[in-house]
Amino acid sequence: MPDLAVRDVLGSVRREIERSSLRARNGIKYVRGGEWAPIEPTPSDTVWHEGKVHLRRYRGAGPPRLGPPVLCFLGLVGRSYVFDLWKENSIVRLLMDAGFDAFVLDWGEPDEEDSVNTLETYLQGYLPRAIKAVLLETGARDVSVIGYCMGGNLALHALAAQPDLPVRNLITMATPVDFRHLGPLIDALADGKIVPRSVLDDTGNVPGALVRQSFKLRKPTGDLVNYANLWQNLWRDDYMEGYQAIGRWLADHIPVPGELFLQVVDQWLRQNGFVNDALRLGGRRAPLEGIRIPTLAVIAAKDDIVPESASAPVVDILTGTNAELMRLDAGHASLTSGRKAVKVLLPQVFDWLAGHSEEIA
Amino acid sequence: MSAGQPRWRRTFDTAERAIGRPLENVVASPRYLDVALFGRRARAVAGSVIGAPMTTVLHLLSLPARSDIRKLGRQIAMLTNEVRELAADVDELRRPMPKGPANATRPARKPVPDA
Repeated sequence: MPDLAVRDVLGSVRREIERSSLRARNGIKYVRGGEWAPIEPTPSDTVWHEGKVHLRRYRGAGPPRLGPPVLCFLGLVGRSYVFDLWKENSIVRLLMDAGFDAFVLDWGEPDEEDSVNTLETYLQGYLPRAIKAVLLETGARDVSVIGYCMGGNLALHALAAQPDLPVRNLITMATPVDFRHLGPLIDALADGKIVPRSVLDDTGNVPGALVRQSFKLRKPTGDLVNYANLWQNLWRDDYMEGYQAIGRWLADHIPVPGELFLQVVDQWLRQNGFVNDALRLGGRRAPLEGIRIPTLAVIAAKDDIVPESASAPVVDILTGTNAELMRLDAGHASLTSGRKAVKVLLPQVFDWLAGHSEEIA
Repeated sequence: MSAGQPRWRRTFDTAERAIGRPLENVVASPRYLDVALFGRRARAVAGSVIGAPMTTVLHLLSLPARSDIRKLGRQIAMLTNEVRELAADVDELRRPMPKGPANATRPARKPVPDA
């Protein structure tokens, strides 16, 4: 018995020494700006671009087995590389492994000249033309769309206004539709306590730093917790990949075009346009009942940025289609990143998509 | 949440929650927002107090102020967008949105180059 206890102690001492040496190695690499998770590891080709907007097609091991091709996009506050975060955590890679042809629409980083861009610029201009580019590139008749977070709002708004867009399936992920449940900052914009124009900087856009701060403000001690997590797991290379990739993406917010921001505050926030069916585009009503395609709303049960109360009503407001709700045990970021997302969550989403797609002859 | 964690981590988590929770309540309160917004408004007022006379002086000298150049830049951007829309309309006439049997004659993706 005492022998066992001594062996246990020696074992844990040896383990700690090993971890400390790995911590030291990784710590030095981290401080020197070492790279664990290069951005966008999956090879791709830009197949279309206009202004700052780029459409990328990803290269898979073989030809796609399932159609239609899948077009993924985010909202206008984050970087599109969230779809290809790191080698072991790439949504586009998983999509291709599931048999799909994967495309990502990157809205680009707006600068002063984009401050005049409106919802119409993106939803009636860039998006339909990007879809057309996918069709010309692949020979397909339509596409499936995955909109992550605000990307889901853009997709819903575009399809409500243009129900004839060649989109066969829609997946929204962690997309808020009831904007009364997004916290005090959104409430302040919605009830006019914050004048939206006062948020714009000299370039006429909402600065990316302000977007970042507004997210950080939700958890003031978040950085401290991150550093504690880092210290605890610094010895693990697999952890460092995820830490670096997710941390980089969460800190990498881009400016929001000013004119579009004013429209979003008015239609999405003040009028709560998704819930109250008050969306407009190009001067016309955009009724959500016009969306008649199969739709899957993926919501994250532990999402503290877009809580369930904000995202779940999507199935009630899409009265023109039998929208399905997939409630997954994840947070806002862990819905798409981390081992569980890759092994458990995303495969469920892509199974649904496969069930609404067809084999390519 | 802290079960199975080293002792230092359990201590950290306890301390973090003790500080973090009240802080989260403070930043989520309307009062905090009022204070933060007051700072923003004060900066905006200070900016206009300095900026407006400067613009007047430049205009008196028949020189453009920063705001004039910005306005011009936005007008050019709007024109660029309109040209883009026109180009897209022309392209739609030349190459309309494909309509045909689903997934017909789909060319293969480019293969991944050998490592």
